[in-house]
Amino acid sequence: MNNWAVQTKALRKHYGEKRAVDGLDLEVPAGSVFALLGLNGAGKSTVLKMLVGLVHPSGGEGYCLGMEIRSRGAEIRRKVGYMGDEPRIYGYMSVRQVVRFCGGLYRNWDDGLVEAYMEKFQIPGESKVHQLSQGQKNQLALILALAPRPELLLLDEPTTGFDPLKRRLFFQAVLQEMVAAGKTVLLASHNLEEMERVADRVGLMHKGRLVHTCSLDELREREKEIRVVFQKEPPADLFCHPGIVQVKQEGRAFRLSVSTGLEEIWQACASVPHFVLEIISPELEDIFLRYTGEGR
Amino acid sequence: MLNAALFIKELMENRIKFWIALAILSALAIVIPLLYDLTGEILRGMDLAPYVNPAELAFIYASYDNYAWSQWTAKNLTQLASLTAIVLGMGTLAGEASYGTAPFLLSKPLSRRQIYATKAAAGLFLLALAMGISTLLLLFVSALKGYTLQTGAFVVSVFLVFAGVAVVYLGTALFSVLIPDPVKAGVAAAVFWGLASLPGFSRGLAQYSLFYQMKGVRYWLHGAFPWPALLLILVAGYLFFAVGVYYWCKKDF
Repeated sequence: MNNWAVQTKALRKHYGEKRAVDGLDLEVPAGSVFALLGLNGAGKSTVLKMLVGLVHPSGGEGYCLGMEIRSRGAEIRRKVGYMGDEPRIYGYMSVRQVVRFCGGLYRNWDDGLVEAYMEKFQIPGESKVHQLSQGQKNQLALILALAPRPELLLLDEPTTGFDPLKRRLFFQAVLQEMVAAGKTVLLASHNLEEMERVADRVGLMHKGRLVHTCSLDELREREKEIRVVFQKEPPADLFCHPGIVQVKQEGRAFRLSVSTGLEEIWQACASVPHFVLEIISPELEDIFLRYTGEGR
Repeated sequence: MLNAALFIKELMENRIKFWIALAILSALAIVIPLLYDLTGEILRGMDLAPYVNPAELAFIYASYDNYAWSQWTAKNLTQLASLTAIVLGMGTLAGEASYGTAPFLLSKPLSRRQIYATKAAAGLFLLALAMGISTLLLLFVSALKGYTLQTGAFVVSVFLVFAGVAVVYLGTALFSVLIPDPVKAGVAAAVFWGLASLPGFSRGLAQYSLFYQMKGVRYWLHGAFPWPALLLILVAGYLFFAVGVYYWCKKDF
């Protein structure tokens, strides 16, 4: 047993010429809340679908809780909760009927958890699923994913269409049932702001590839920006330092994205007459755009 | 292999189709014995040649056994149960794909083979139930009317129809895997089975038709149980099932 809840090696999914996932090497530590970030079409959903067996990989290897995803799909699904993007649940059934149906598929179904969260989310048990709002359907899908007490929870764009209160309740439930119990959560999202609040590790995906992965703290610590407004035109070689990964200019105001050599670059800027010189922590969104090259 | 929770869900999902099929089959099962005397009197008093073969008419009304078999097993049950099999089979897997519920179901701890087998078993169970209940109703009404029937042979012939209808259902389920829209899958299956029934309209080719064999004509007329035909029917059913499972297991959602 290794320490990875999810591990993929050169995992691929091709649809003809289109490479939805292109040689993905992903390692999600057990007990972490890992956010897979990327723009629409980056391949995040396909990764989650391959892990849970909805999509067959074109190549490479994938492991969930130490089990190979191709050969042990049903075993994996016994220990993994999955909630897809805007989940579709049988609309003709009542909420109670759906709960009974799902409960019959698992050995360790927790009826107490279901009751508690149905009350908390105010989901009426006798209502037909088609009568619920999309937000309530998502909440129901979360309850159904949590009720078998999974070791790993896969959430694909889980809070689409949620109001702030519902979003808060949703993540409270995830944190309480999964994170507090030391279990793993893998989220796929393009909502960077939201992931910043719940995730402890991030993986940045772009065009089917993982372009960067690290802890959120590391990312914030390492990725800094210097904002400087010079009194006159700065020397042309000032921004040639290899640690400067991006320069944005507005008149004499510059924003330098720095990955290494912060102190050195700071000193160089300080040597040029300036009005403002400060270090700022960039938004996760800016870091993401820089890594994916979409911000240029 | 089969999953009880999914089996129950399938019964629930198909309940309306089942009740409609049962209602129609039951109505016919009641009407057939009730009309025996009346139709016999009317038809025997009419000269229907060349539209109706007089020998055929004479055979049908030679005994209540022949009448019940020709009107129920060889006609209404074969036709309506086949139609029901198409209606039930077309949504078996295409329904999950078209309503977008496949990812929800497939993320549960069931193998795809188990899902397919359970869905097929539930469909076949409903078909057997509709056919069984309506046949019992026919036997009951026949008894009430005082008609005697060779119950054993009659039930065996109904079993042969069920075997054929099971093939129709499993073939339609295959279309339901290949075409992710229940209506289109149903239309494709209906066209396929319509073409498959064509040999039955030719005297020389009739024995090569599934629909002819499932009526158990030789069994009823000559008492010889059609083992080779039944074996072929079972092989065809298994092949449809195996090919359906193969494509179902390969699909991405």
